[in-house]
This record gives sequence, structure tokens and C-alpha cells, in this order.
Amino acid sequence: MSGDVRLRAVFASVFGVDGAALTDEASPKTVPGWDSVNHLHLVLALEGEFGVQFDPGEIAELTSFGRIRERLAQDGHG
Amino acid sequence: MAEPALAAALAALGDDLKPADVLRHARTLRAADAVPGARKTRAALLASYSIGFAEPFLVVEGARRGLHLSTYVGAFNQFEQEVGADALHDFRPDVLVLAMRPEDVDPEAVGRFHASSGRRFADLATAMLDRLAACVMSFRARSDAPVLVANAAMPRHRPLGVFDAGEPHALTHALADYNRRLAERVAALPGAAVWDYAGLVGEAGARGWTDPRLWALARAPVAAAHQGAFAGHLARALAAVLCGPAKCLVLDLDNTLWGGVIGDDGLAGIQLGDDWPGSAYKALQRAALNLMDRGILLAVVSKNERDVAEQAFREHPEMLVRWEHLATARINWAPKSANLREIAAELNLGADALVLFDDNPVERAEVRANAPEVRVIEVPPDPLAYVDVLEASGHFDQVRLSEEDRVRTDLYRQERQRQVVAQQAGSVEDFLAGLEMHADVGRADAASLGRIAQLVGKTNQFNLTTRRHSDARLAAMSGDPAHCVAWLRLGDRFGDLGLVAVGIARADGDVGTVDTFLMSCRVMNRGVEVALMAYLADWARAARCTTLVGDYLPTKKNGMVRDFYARLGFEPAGALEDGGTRWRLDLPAGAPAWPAVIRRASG
Repeated sequence: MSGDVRLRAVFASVFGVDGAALTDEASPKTVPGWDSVNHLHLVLALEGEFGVQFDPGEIAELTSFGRIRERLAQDGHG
Repeated sequence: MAEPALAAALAALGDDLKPADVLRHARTLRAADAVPGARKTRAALLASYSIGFAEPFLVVEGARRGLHLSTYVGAFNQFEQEVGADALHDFRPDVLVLAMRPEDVDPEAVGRFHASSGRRFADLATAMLDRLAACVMSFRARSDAPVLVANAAMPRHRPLGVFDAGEPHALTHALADYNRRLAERVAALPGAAVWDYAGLVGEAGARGWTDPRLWALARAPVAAAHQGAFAGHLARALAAVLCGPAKCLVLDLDNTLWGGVIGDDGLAGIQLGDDWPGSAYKALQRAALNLMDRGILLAVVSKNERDVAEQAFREHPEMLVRWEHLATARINWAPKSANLREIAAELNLGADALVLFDDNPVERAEVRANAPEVRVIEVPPDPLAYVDVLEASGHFDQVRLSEEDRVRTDLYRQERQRQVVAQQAGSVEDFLAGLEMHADVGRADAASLGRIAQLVGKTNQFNLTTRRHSDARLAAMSGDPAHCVAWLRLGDRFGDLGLVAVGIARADGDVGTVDTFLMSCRVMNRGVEVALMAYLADWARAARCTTLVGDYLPTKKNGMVRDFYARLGFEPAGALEDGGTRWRLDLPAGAPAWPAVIRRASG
């Protein structure tokens, strides 16, 4: 499975949304349930899925679907 | 609610789940109206850290343990405010968890333990014990639900490093002392038990337990890798408190209690001893005997020739489990489901009180299909893992141990001797007189309440009303002068049978009402119930009652006491809903007499 498909599946699991419909602009403002607690659940779910680890500064920055997609692409999960 | 999603979630519970899967399944389980095979449970969680972060994991682990959980997560570190708050009580919790960590309440007392030579920690420990006890009692004022109180885990870094445990006045020992005092304190609180958080962290490993990022960003002390273990441990404690333990471990023989097949390999050919692979089977035997020491009955179900199998118990030098340790055995060629039903009937237990441990997947499937109430442990192929799966099943987790639990196997052995006397006696009267029975009766006190709560919680057959009063409710009734919570202990020439019967009566003006009347089936047909009713009638008369009223409320299991009140001379006083009947007795005239065959020791 491509990184993009897996990323959308993680979003679907964490927030119960349609992963395929997400755009790069999807953020805590547009995705229901994307609060501070679920943001950390999302981060841990991404780490579990992609075998990466984010530092606390990055965690605070990864607040849109696009930024997360780009950050994972840096680690080769395009 | 999509049924396929729920089915998929339940099917996935046996797997190792990634965090994303846990979140998805938790959402499905939360949204389900009902989860097959799981009881709806509302758990209120109060902690000195962000316990809400574990909620999805707890929902999933709860489902694995037969609980369909919904949670109330209290405001962080607000114990006193929350236990009395309307919001918490409006949630109507079935159970409350209090998780207070010393390092959260006063980080300096732990992190700089030696700045005050441990005095600050000692003060903190005393203050925490007082706060937790006060929280339990404050909650009790509005709820009978059980309370789990977490103890304190060893932090990863200790003030004296690798030599902390070598210093008698170090944090290592101060924490152990706190946990011991907590155990004593909680044991004295109504309906409260310790949740062994220290044991959980010790088992999982303090290293890596906390992810510093999660602690810094969310005050969540459990790293992603340990969320499942954390929630699984808590769910297991919740299930133990809410559902109660199984009572009998039923063991297979070939490739379970020993390696090999006794019918083919013979007494000298089976694997059992101190060297691998025999050591794995010996370890399982030791674990089974540990359960017996705790009051769990052991039984055997095996497809074998009985003489050959019995010979192994009697003659194999490495057998730890001996023939006399078994409450009963079914060694024959009948289906195991039928044998398990017979075992349940013989031991006066429900089939759901039996746990089967059998290495053969075909036999396990047969039992699951034909005796689905029996709890079947999924036994792995490698015997080295047997002890782990037996322990991890949690089926025998018991919140409290009563004296009766410790001597239960003795009790069943005495019962067999009594049956021999019964067969030899000429008449029932001769038999009862020959038992030389003596009984103690009295009012519930701190020493007897645990056993009373246990009987109220589990007695199905000889139980007139089957009211499952909570520990807290029983404690309240026993302290109320308008109630009489009475117990009866029985002994005879073969030994002490322990506390075997409970009656609860209430006085309203001149009417006494029997709220609860129950007896262990071990002492059926011996006049014990007459003795206890005579005691309750005496109490009611002393409380100036002129009438004693009792109800029979039928259940699937208590048909044996349908005519109980008629036998004791009560008059019918009308029908109740759902097939129940009401009975009354004029006290001055018709009180039952204490049976002559039982010598009364006190009261």
C-alpha cells in the first residue's frame, strides 16, 4: 500500500472520517474531533503505522493533513 | 450502528493491534448499543494524571474481558471535588477508579526524597491515605458501586540509583510501606479494593513506561507501547470486581498435566520432572496447586482408562497434583462437554464457574459448541507457555480471600466422609444426630462481612430472594438497628464448615420482613435453615414485631426453595409479580424452634 493510502487510513481510524476525501488543508478547524488529545492519538497512530518518531516541536507543527503528508514524505513514505 | 464493523472489531480483539486500529475499534464498540457476550459497564475514572488518554485502549481491553465500557473521566487531579459531584453521580457509575500517584501530588517529596530525610514523603503518604479513604467514604454517601484504588509504582529513576534498595530508609522501602498501608486501609473500607498499579509497572518494566513527550504534552504517563498493558490490567481488575472469579479449574491429562499419552507411553514414559520438557508440565501442576491453596477446586476431565490415569496420580514420583487434591474427576470416553456438566452438577456449581484447560483444540471446540457457559482457555502449543496463559486468563482473580476459600478443598473432602456416614445411617434422624452438629449464630461484623458479601453475591440455588446487595449496602444494613444481618457458622464431627448461611431481616413497626435468606448448598437437609430462621424470628420478636413476612422470588435456579416457607409453617399471604409468593407467620404462636440435632454454641 502506498504511503498516501496508509496515511488516509490512519486519519479514518483516528477521526472516523472518510480518508479519501481529505485535502491538504484538512486541519483541527475542519476535521471534527481533532482536538489536543486526539492530536496526540493521531501522532502515536502515525508513529505506529510508519515506524517514525516526531520530536515535541514537530508534534506541535503537524497540524494539517498537508504538513503531515510532507513530513512523512521526507522519511520516504510518499 | 453497522453490524459488520462491530463483528470485525470483536474478531480483531485477539490480535496485536496498532494504535490506529485501537482507536477505530474503540469508536465502533462505543457506538454499539450492545456488544454480544459483554456486560454494559459504566466506569468513572479519577486520576492525578490524564487517564482519559487511555480511554480508547480501555474500551477495547474491556471488550476482551467481557465488559462493554463507557467512561466518565473526571477533571484531572480533582478527587475530592469529583467524588461528590452531581456530574459523576448522574453518570451512575458501576465502578469508580481512584488513581493517585505520589510523584504527581508532590513531585519534590519523591524527586528530592533525601532533602528532608524522607520526612516529606512520609507526610505525603499519610496525607494521601487519608485523602483516598475520605474519597471512598464520600463516594459511598451516594453510591454502592465498588471502588478500585491504585497503589504506587516505583519510579524509573530512584534517588540513590542502583543502591536505593540497599538503604533501609530509601524511597524504595518508603513506597513499599505506603503500598502496605494502603492495602490495610482499603481492606477496611466498604466495597473497595486495591488496583495493583505497582505490579503492572513492575511487570511491564519501569524503563520505557513513560514517554517523556506524552508526559510533557498531555500529562499522560503511559507510553504508546504500554497503553495496551495498562488498559488490559485495569480492565482485568474491573472484570474481577464486577463479574467475580470462576471456582473450579478442570484439567486435561495427556499433554496438559504431563507430556505424552499415558495410555501409549505408560507410567515410566510420560514427561514430568525437573528437566525440560517435563519441567513445563510440573510448573503447570504447581500453578494449579497454587490456585487450590487459594480455594479454587481442581478437577480432571480426560479421555483415558481411569485405572491407568489414576495410577499416575498415585504412583508417579514427580506428580505434584495428587488424587486427593481433586474435588472430582471424569476419566472416560464420553464427550467432554457432558463430563463438564456432570462436574458442575456434582460440585453444585454453574457451568460458568468452570474453567477448562485442555491442550487439544478439538476438545476445546467441542466444549465451546456444546457447553458454551464453560470458560475455555486458549492453550498454546508450547507447554512452556501454559503457566502464563493460565495466569493471564484472569478467571481466578479474586478480590478478597475469605477463610472458607483457603480451606475449601478440605471442606469437599469432609463432605465425602459425611456421605459415607449417610449411607450407613438407618434413618435421616440417625444420620443428623450422628453428625454431632454445632452452630454459631450472630450479627454481621467487620470479620464476617466479607464472607457474607461473597455468599450474597454468588448463592443461586438456596436463595429465597436472590438480592445481590453490594458490599456497601450490606455494611450499611449491618450498622442499622432496624436491620438484622445474621450469619450462621456450622461445624460437625468431621470439621468446620464455616459461615454457610445468611439471613437479613428488617423491622417496620410490628412487621418483620425477611429481605434475604440464603444458604450454601453444602449443608442442605441438615436443619440449618430452620436454625437460622429461628434466630431471625427471635430477633424480630425482640424488636417487638408480631408478624414475620417472607417472599419467595423465583429465578431459573432457586426452584428448590419454592416451598421453603410452607415447610417452616408460614401461611400463604398472596401472589407477587413474576410468579413470586408472599408468606407470613404470627410470631408469638408460630415461631420455628431451634432444631434439636444442632447444638447452639452462642447467640
